Amino acid sequence: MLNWAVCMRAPIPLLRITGLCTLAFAVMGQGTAQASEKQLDLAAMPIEQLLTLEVYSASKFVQKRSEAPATVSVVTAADIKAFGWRNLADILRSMRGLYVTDDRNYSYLGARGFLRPGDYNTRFLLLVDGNRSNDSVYDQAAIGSEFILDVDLIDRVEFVSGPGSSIYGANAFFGVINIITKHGRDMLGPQVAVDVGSHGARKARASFGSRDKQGAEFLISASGFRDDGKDLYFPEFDTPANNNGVARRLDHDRGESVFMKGAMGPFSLSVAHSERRKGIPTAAFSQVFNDPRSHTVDTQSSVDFGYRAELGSQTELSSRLYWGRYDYDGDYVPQDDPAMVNRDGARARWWGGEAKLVTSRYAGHKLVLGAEYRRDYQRDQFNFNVDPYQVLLQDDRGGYRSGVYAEDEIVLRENLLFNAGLRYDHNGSPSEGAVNPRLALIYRASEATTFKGIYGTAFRAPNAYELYYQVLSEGGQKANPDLESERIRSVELSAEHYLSADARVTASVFRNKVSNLISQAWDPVEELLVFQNTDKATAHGVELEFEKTWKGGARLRTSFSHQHAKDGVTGEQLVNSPRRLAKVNLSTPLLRMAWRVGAEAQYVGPRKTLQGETGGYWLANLTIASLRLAPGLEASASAYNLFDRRYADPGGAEHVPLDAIRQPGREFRLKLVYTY
Amino acid sequence: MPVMTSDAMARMMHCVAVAMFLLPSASYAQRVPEYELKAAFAYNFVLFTEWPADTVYEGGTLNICINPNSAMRPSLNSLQGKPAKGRKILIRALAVPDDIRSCHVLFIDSTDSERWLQIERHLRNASVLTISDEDGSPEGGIIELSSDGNRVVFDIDMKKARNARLVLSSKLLRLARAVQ
Repeated sequence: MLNWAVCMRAPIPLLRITGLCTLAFAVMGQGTAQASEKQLDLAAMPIEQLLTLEVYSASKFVQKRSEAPATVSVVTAADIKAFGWRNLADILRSMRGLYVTDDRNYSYLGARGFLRPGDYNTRFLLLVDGNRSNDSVYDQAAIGSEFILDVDLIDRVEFVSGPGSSIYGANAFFGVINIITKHGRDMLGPQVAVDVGSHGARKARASFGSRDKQGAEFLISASGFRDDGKDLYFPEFDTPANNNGVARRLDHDRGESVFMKGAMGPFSLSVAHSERRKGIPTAAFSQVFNDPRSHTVDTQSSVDFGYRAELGSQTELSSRLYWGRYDYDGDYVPQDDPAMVNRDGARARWWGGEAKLVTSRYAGHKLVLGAEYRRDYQRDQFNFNVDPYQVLLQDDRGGYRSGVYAEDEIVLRENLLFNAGLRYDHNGSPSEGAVNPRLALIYRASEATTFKGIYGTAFRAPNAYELYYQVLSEGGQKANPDLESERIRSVELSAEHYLSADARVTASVFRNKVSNLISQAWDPVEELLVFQNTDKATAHGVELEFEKTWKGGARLRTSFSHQHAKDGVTGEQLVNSPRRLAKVNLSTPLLRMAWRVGAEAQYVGPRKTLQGETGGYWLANLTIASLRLAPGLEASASAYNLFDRRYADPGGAEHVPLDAIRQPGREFRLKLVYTY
Repeated sequence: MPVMTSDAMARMMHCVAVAMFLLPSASYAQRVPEYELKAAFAYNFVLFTEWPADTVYEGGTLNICINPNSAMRPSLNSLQGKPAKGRKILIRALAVPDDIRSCHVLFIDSTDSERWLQIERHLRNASVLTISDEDGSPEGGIIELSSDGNRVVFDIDMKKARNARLVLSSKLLRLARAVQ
């Protein structure tokens, strides 16, 4: 019966997945009928008798995911608060099978043993309230401090692992990250938050939410942060000419963001904007070491207008119109001409629309039909020397993407469900079509146990950078407009079993086969770098997860992954691919719910780097939060990398001579939130 | 690790499946569902509570409010329309606490922990019978339900009841585990 409540609050993009609750209804219908008979008896009983009855507890899980045609992980606002997560990367790295690499400029996400060096998360689709956030030049999913939202505004994060192109089209390659933002009703009244942390980190946020009697809601929020950063030592650069390997005041990070969201009747509108400026302490891309001019600026904006209508009692139409923008500006100080600043950048602009129909009017079927069109009216890239001014690249162009899709959930038997989806995509630049299916069979062996078998494919179209970026100087790069899409084929079998109403085990085995991988190669004739469809790779593995909640409000989520990802050409283990991952997240209330402690531990196994290996490591974080320090006041204190472990993430080719990049030691944060 | 053939994969899956079936699944002989029992308690609390004479019953209903996301809600819904105090019970899903004063009974549980401060502010000393579930709010309601082993018991906070100008029957006070 819990399902019902869950369905009602399912956000639009999840409708496709949790829509299956319809089935759960049918399956559980009998149970409900019996329960209400008991209910009548209970309510009629005298209270003295009620006191003598024994109970079995009901499930306290937020969401039932048994019927989704994929394995889904969910993190809520309560978890974000309990574990003191500072950005989206922190949230994602706590999830089963995921790991994050940081090069002190951007954060890179890996899933199921895949994290290609130099890949700006193009193989993950990032959705904010159902709206695609990957830009139109690099297809980058921004998950670090450059993410468009303050994480305080997130209500839930869902990670749907596996290929999602049958619904979402390009980039839903290894998985879909679904961000659902808070509503006006979740943050009523004015609220301010400030936090301070190690190495001069500070942040402030002001928000205001409202909701009137007719249900119209409004939320506005603005945030700003500054992080001075620590002076970092790199032994690879340890010469007197390079300040003895110390990058001074170069790990600085600052950003501002605003978010507005309103909903009235069937209409919704959200507007987001963010700017981030980050120093580059690693001298990446063959720069002069310890030069204060080196930095990047990322600017993102988005407007999303939605309309939903009920067409009859069993059919819903939802549609959206959106506009988006991404600007990138990077200042680089080349080693071969330290007097000069080279500016690299991109201007991406796009608008588009989507319409989707969900209907359950045909008995035994739940049908989803959708169409999407997006015009990338600006996909410009440039590169020039600032002084003396010299243009090395100015590539202005546009493009479009379009897709149509259908999905049907068919009830074969009361406890057997077949889910079939298919999407056709067409990209205008370069002109290419792609068909991607997903088939899932979901078998409910008993009330407590569900098995799933899932087969799906996905694609990633080459981005504008891989296709058109061309700087024909020495050590430069050549365009390759003939690139084709990458493909992935995936098979997954999973089992979910409830040990009791509040304890659940999930196990899955998967096999991924990636072909036509786009990789940077060296053209010996022209002596230039060029992207080519040369590589292939395979991965297989097992994931186990255990979750439990206790009556007193404690929650445990722990997972273990074992995987093997290898290069399809050489047969070697892939770079930045840990064999083992483990996570433990435990949060529990203290002192009659007035305080909450969140402890997390993560293990990442040893990984190959481009030239060697980085060791495995355990990391622990601890947050203690007071839900009510004084009227209206919440406070929390966090320690990250509690035991000050030394560990490093593999770097990309652009970081040479750095092979692995040292990660932060112990850091602290103190946060106060005041609601008027 | 060698490449996993589909055969090996099937074997592995089989093992997982077998392992899971062997795990003990809890048996609940002769017990009643927790939330439904708690809903029955809520109904009894209404019967044994007197609201002040100036209480407004808009539409003639006695309103029991609950967070729409609460797991208790489906169970509570079965009280819909039942007679109490010469009126009919109306279960209302309260998405926001701003019109909390139209509630006669408010059920609070862990889904409200994020918005407890707002609830408290809107509530002040309104004549609303607050019933909290054990893992609910930093502060309990007028009546707080909790578990004692496999049984459900309740505690009463008389100070809060007086502030809300509610009179709880002596029978409730006698059956409560603790009255403070």
